[in-house]
Amino acid sequence: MELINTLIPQMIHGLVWGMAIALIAMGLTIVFGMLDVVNFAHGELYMLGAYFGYALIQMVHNFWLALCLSVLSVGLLGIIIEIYLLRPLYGRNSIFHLLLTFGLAMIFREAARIIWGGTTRSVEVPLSGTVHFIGMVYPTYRIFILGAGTLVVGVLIYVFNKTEIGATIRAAAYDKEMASSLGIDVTKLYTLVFCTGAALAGLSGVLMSPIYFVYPTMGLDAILRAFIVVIVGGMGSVFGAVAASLLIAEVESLLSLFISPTLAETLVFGVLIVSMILRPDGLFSKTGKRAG
Amino acid sequence: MILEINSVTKKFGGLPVINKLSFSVAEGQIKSVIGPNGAGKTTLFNLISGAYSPDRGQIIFKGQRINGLTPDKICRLGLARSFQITNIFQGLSVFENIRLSIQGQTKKLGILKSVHQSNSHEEETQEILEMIGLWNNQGKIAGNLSHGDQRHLEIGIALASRPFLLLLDEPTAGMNMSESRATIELIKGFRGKVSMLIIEHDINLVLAVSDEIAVLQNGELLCEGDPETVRNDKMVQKAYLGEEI
Amino acid sequence: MGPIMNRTSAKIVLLHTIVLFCVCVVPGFLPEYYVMVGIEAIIMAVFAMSLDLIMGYAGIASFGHAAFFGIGGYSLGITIMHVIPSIWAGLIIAAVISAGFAFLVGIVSIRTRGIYFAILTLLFGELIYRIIFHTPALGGSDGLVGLPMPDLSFLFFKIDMTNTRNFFYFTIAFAYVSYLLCWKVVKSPFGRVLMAMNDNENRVPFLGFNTKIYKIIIFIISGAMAGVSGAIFSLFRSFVDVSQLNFLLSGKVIIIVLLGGLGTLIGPMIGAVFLTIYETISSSYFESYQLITGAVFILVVIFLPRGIWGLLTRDKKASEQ
Repeated sequence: MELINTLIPQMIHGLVWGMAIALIAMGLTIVFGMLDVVNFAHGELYMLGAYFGYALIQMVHNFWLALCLSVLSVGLLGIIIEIYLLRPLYGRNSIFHLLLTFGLAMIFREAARIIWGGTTRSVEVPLSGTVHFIGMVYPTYRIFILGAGTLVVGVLIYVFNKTEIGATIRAAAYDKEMASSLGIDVTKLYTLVFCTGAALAGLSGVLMSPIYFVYPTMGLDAILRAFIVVIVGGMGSVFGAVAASLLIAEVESLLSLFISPTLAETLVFGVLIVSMILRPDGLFSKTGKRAG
Repeated sequence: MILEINSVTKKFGGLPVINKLSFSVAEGQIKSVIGPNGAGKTTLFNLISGAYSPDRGQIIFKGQRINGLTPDKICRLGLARSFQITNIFQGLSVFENIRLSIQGQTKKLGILKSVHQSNSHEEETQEILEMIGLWNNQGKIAGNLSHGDQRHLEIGIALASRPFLLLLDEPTAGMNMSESRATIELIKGFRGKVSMLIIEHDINLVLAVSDEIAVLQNGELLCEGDPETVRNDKMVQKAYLGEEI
Repeated sequence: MGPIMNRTSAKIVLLHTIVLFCVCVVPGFLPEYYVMVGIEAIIMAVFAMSLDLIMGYAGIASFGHAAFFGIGGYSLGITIMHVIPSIWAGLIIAAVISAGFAFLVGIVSIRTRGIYFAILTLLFGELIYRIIFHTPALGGSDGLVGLPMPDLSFLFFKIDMTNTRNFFYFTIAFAYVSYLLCWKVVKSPFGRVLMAMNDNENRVPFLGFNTKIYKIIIFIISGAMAGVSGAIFSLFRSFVDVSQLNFLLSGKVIIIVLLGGLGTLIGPMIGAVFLTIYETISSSYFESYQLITGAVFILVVIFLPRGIWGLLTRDKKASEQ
């Protein structure tokens, strides 16, 4: 019984962490699926979401308002990045996008460190209290995160698969010349998708800040996980991103019961390598995404 | 038969793009593949050249099964292809484009050798350049060539592999009348030296060079035979709906 | 072809001699501190050149290249401290071990599509960092300290390597040999295929080349060169720690290669010298120098993709056409 009492909360911790990563990874993977761009600064967008949230809370004294404003800000930042920094590079060797976003990540990290200092900040948990179930108690806020995250993932999957705009996005992702000749404004779609991806990262940042704190290198930790996730789950596959996120987070979480968290982290990399050997294209990747 | 396609099927996401297709190319023959857009012609080339693997069926080249082999192995066996959308090395010189293809047939990696030591490459390269009419432009950067010249370079790269079978994917794509005529002459000049399988929309070219024509529709073989037979086939005429063949 | 070839090679030999001479005369005039900065800059230059081999010529992005630099350093450290106090042995073992790691990383990553490869290099870099960090035998976060500095046996001499000037000449010699090696590889038939891959990777297999083998080989060469640079670096500082393997260093060398000029070999070397000098000067003056570096980097990526050296040699290349 004792084992269950520690096991289940830990598993839920894993789910919560998995949700954080899933939101980030989804953003990363839709940007790749649509724009063929791997955004190395994606983790920093997560970080900026958290910092914006932190700063806005100081101003408006309301977590939820700060959350909305922060997500909007990061989304706006995403739009600016896509239009002014990514667009000039479309058509060039993809290495340049990698390098650009890499440099951007560096700038964001440094800027955050300069503006807010290197010390870790904390954000107050907006929903205090606990929830009782199966004879256990669990923090309310974390349950909320699970619910909110699932809602967002659900909405996104619905939009992608069941709505007209989703179909348009999928068509343009599959063959942009064809979509363009059908009258679809691919340029605006690119901006929209990048903005959404950024907003997802920012959302995750704010949501998780009460639990995981706010510090300048949090983006690096996030992007490492996100990369592992999209590689294991398959680049461009939303389902793969979510599934892999939960898998990896659970593995890390459960391992932390027996070994130190940093060691658990290292073992997660082991999971990655096994996955690479078994399925080089990712466990759920879409094969034949683009013919020839 | 230098090439045999036996009941090959290829599906993309559940949809068969090539459906139980069977045909063959005789040695020394020039065979054309025609058909409406989306008939699966380029997919067929992708299957033969090793870009894709068929889901079902076999592809036999010179008596050897090649489906499932990687493109580089297939090229080394003597099967080369050109691409419908020009796929040359835009940033390299015309000379280098051809020289690389010739180098591709050697086994050695040549990490510490000097390129200048490979004299035989130089001679062969000049030969091919002359054949495709680009000898004068060999120093030019490939990306700066005219469209017609780029298409010839495209063919030249495939030819430089000294293949037994040459796959040409719409060699006259985007060409004007005179460029197309020059390409027809070029292809005629290869007759007897190499077997050819050509995808084309340009009916003039097809009729001018082909020993046999295969008509594809929806990934299936509609009709196959010499130009006269194909021209008179009712199904083919229906497929092209009033287009004058 | 004959006489023209000789004239060009004579010009090149003369140019090389002049540059080498100037560089070697330098330590005679400068205080020791600057010579030390110079050594560091030159080591970084070779490290950057090793990255240029894969990024600039083969078009493979490596975001974890510091891993090889660090592995080389640790290999030398362990060799010199516990196995055999010989610099040559240390360097050779560093080369072999980093080449081995490059091979391992390479064959796992090569099965994936191009863009995965780049991400995987980052992840492998991190993995190696974490493994070394958590290995007590390697000193954990403190690393290996107090490395001895044995004399270098060269021909019949024993060179005292604790003398900064000697170390400087040794580093220059290493850099020059590395440059020649890179030059040879890049100009060879092998290197030509790499450049073709960089131009249009899709077409290359259809010419008969197994691109995977090419990528792995250049990755190994690059890893080995990075490893030896790292080994010399550790030897120079007499210690090796995890800061030689981390993401920040991987990032720094990428910036150097890009600023100097992708695919030029010399560009990254110049970039390394400039960045090292810039860092040494500005880090004592203002906090946000990294921010400026990042901003300049982005501007270079967008507007000056061929880097400084690419810009300077652009006219020269056009006239050679």
